[in-house]
Amino acid sequence: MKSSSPSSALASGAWRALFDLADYSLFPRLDDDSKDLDERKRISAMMLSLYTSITNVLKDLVDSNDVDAVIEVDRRWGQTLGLWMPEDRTPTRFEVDILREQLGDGDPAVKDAQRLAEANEALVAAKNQLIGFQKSRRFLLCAWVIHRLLGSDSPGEWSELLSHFLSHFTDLTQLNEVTELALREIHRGGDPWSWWIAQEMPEGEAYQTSDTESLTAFVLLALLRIDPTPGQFSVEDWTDAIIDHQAELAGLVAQLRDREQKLWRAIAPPADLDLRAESLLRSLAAAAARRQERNAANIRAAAADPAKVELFKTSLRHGWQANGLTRLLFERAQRLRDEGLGRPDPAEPLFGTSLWLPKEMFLTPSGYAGIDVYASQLGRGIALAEMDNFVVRLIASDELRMESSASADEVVRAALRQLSKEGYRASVMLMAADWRMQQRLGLRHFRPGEEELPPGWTLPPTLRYLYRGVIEGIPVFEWRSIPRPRVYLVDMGTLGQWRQWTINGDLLRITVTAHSAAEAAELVVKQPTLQWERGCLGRNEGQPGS
Amino acid sequence: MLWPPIRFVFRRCSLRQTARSEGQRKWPAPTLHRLDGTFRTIGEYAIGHDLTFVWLLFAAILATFLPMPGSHFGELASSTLARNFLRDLWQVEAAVLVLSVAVILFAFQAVASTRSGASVREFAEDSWLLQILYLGFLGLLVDGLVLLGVGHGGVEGWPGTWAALLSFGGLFSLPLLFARAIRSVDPTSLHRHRLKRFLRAIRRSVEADRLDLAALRVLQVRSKESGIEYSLYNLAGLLRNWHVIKPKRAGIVDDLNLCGFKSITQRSDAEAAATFAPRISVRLGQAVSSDSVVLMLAPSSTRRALRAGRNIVRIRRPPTRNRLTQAVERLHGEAIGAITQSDLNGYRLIADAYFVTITAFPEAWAVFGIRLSHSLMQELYPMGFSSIDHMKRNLYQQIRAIAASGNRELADLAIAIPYRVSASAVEEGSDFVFNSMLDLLVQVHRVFAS
Repeated sequence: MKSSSPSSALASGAWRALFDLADYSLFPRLDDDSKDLDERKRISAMMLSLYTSITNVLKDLVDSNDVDAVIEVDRRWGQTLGLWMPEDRTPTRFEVDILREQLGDGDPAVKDAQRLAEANEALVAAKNQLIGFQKSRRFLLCAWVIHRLLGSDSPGEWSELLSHFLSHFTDLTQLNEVTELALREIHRGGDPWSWWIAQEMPEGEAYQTSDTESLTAFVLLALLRIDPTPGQFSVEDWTDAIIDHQAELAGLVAQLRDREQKLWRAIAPPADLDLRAESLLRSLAAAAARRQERNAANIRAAAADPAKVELFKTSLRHGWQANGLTRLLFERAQRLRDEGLGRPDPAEPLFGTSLWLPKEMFLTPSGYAGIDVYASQLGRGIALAEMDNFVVRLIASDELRMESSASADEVVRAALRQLSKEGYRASVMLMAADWRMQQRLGLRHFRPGEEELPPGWTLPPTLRYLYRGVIEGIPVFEWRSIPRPRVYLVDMGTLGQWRQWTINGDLLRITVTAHSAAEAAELVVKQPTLQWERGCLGRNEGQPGS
Repeated sequence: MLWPPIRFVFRRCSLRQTARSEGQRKWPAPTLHRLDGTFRTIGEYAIGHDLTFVWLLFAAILATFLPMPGSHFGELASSTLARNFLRDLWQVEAAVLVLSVAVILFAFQAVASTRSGASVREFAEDSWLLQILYLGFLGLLVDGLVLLGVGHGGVEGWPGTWAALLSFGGLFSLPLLFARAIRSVDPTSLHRHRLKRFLRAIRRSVEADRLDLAALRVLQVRSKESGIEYSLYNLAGLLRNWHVIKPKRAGIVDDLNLCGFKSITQRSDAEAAATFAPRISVRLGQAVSSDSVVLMLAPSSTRRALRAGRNIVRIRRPPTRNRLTQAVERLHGEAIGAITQSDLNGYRLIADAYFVTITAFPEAWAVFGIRLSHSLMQELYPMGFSSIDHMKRNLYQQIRAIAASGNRELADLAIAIPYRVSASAVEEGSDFVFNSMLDLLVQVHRVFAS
C-alpha cells in the first residue's frame, strides 16, 4: 500500500476532478427533467466517456497495487448515478396501452403519454448502458488483477485487490450477464484490454487479442459462487458468449481444480472445489447441448429470407455470366442460337455441384456471412464446368492433329497455314498452363488493366486472367484442364453452336429448396448425367443443410 | 474546349469556390460575423501590412494635389506666414517624433523583457503604436514636400493646410501614444491583448476548417459521381504500373479542378474503367511534398486523362506563419518558463489563457451551427493534429514539468485547466473537447501517480 505523499495527493486530485465533473456537470443535467431527451442522451454519452477515463485511472491504481485508492475510486464510481431512477418514472408503456384502450389512438393525451413513455424508456436504456458498462469494466479490471497476479512472484500481495473486485459479483446470473458484456466488447475490439497489454509490450512484438484472463475470471467467480447442489442455477441461463467458449472453459476449470494453482495462493479455495467444478462443467455441457438442439429446431422451422434468396440468385447469375468464356467465344463467332422459351433436350447432360449450403445461410439472423460470395463462386463453378466440357470435346475430337519437333512458334504457324489450306479460319487459340511454352510463343501474363486485346474484343475483368496475348491476330487463352504442352487452334465458326433456352426470361433457372441429408443424397442419385462443377467434387466435407 | 488551367478559374470548376458557396449555404455565418470578418481582413491588409506606410505616404502626397481652392486656415493664406509656420512646425515635429521613437523603443523593450506571449510585431499591431508613429512621419514628410513646392496651389493653399493638419494630428496623438504605451506594457493589458489575438486566430482557423470540411464533402460527392475513388491512403506501392501523378512542387493543396474529374476517368477500355477507378488522395488544405501521390490512374488511361490528371491540382506555397500555431507555441514556451521559475501568478494567467482558448473552439464552431464533435474532428484531422490536440500535448508536457518541479500550487493550477475546460465543454456540448480533457486528466493522474 502506498503512503500519502504530495504526488499521490495530486494524483488523487486528478481523479477527484473526474468525479467532480460527474457530480456537478454531468449528473445534474442527466437528472434534469426540463432538458430535452437528445440533450440528456448526449450527456449520457459523455458520462460513458467519463467511465472510460475512470476505468483507466483504476487500471493505473491496480498497477501500483494502491488498494485504498482503488476502493475509494470504485466506491465513488458506484455513486455517480446517485439516486437516478428513470425506471420509476411514469407513464410506462403499459399505462399508455391502457390509456389508448380508453381514449383511442388519436387522442392527444395518448400521444403525449406515448411520447413521455418513449422518453422514459430511452432514459432507462441509457442508465442500463451506463451500469452495464460499469459492470463489464469492473469485470475486466478483475481479470487485469488476475493477469497481474499470475505474472507476480508473490501472488499474496494481490489478494486484497482480487477480493475487492470479486466482491462485485455475488451471484451467477449477474456473472453471466457481465461476462457476456465483457467478452462481446473484447471480440468487437472496443475493450481497453488490448491497449493495456500493448502498453507493456516490448517494441517489435505483436499481441493477439485474448480473452483468456476474462475467462479465467469467469471460471474463478463461477467456482466461488456456484452452488454444487444440482438445479440451483438453470442451465438455460448461460449466455451464448459463454457457451461459445465451452472447450476453453473446461480447460480452465481443469487448471483451477489444482489447489496448488497460483490463484488459490491469493484467495482460499472452497472446500468442495471438485464438486463445484463438476457442477459447473455439467451445467455448461448441458447448456451447450440444449442450445444446439434449440438452434437446429429453429433452423428447421424458419423460412428462408426472401431478400437473401434473391441475393443468392442474383449473385449466382452474375458469377456465371462474368466467367462464361465458352458462351463468349461462341457469341463472338456468331454461333450463338437463342431457342427462346422452353427446355433443353432431357438427354443433354446437366451440371451439378457437390457443395452443400447450410440452410442457416438463407435465414435472418444467421451465423453465416457472404452468401453472395458463395453464390458467385457457384455461378463461376458452373461457367468453368461449361468450359471444361467444351475442352473435353476438343480433346476427344483431335481434328487435324499436328505433332512436330520444331519450335512451338513454328508449329503454331504451320498449324495455322494447314488450317487455312483445309478451309478453316482459326478464331481463338486455347493452350495449356505452360509458362515456358507461352514464353516461347511471346505470350505473357498481363497485370490488371494492362491487357492488349485484339481490335473489337472486350473481355469482362473476371476473364482477363486467362488472356495471354495475340498470335497472328488470334487471341490466346490459357485453360488449365488442357494437357501440357497442347495448343488448340479453334475455328469457332465451324466447330459447333451454342444453344440456349430461356426460362421465365432467364438463362439460368435457380430454385432454392431445403433438403435433409438423405433427401439431398437421393436427389443426386436420381441425376446420373450430372456434369460435376469443377473443383467441387469430393470437396463436400460438411453435411447437407437440414 | 478550354485549356484546363483556364477552365480552372471558373467558379464551377474550382473546388475552393464550390466549397465556399456550399459551406456558406450549409453552415451560414450570421451577417454581423461575416461583416466583422471582412472589415478585419481589410483593416489588417490596409493598416497592418509591412508596406502600409508606403501607401499612406502615397495617399498623403496625392491629397496635396486635390483642387481645393480657399481651403486654408486663417493666416496660412499668406505665402510668407505659411512658409514660416510650416518651417517651424517641421522642426518641432521632428523633435517630437524622436521622442515618440524613444517611447516606442522603451515599450518594445519592456514587452520583450516580459513573458507577454506576444511578439513585438503583434504588440505593435495591438497597441497602435506604429500607426501613431506613421502619422508623425507622414506629417513630417508632407511638411517638407510642401515646403519644396509639391502640391496644387502652393504653401499658402490647400497643400499647406493639409501638411499642417497632418502635423497637428501627429502632435495631438503624442499623449495618446504615451497613454497607450504605458497601458500596453501592463501585464493585465498584455494578457487581454493576447486573449483577443487568440480568439481572432481561432475564429480564422475555424473558418478555414469549415471551408476544408465543405471541400471534403464536395470532393467526396463529386468523386463518387465521376467514378473516382477518394481515399486518403494511396496504394502506390501495390498498384504497380499505374500512372502516379505527383505535385509539381511541395506546398499546400490550394484547389482542385472539378471539371477535370470527367476527363481523368476516360479510358481506352470502357469495361476496365468500371473496374479500375482512378484514385485521388489529396484534399483541400493538405500539405504535400513533391513526392506525394495526388492521383493514380490505371495503366489503360488515355493521354487526355493523363493530361487532365496532371492539371487536376493547384499547389500554393505554405503560409510563412500560422498565427494560431505560433501563439500556441509561444504560450507553451511562456508556461514552461513560468514553471521553471515557479512563477505562480504568471502561470495563473497562462492557465486562464488555456481555458479561454480551448473553450473558444466550440463557441467558434457554434457560430456556424456546428457542434465540435469527435466525428467532425476525425473527419478534418484524421491523424489528430488539430490545434486542440496540440494544446493538449503541450499541457501534458507542462504537467510533467510541474511534476518534476514538485510545486504543489502549480500542480493545482494545472489540474484545474482540464477540469474547467471539460466542465465548459459539457455546456457547449462538445464531446471532442470533453474527451480530450478527460484523457488529459487520466494522464495527469498517471504522471503524478508514477
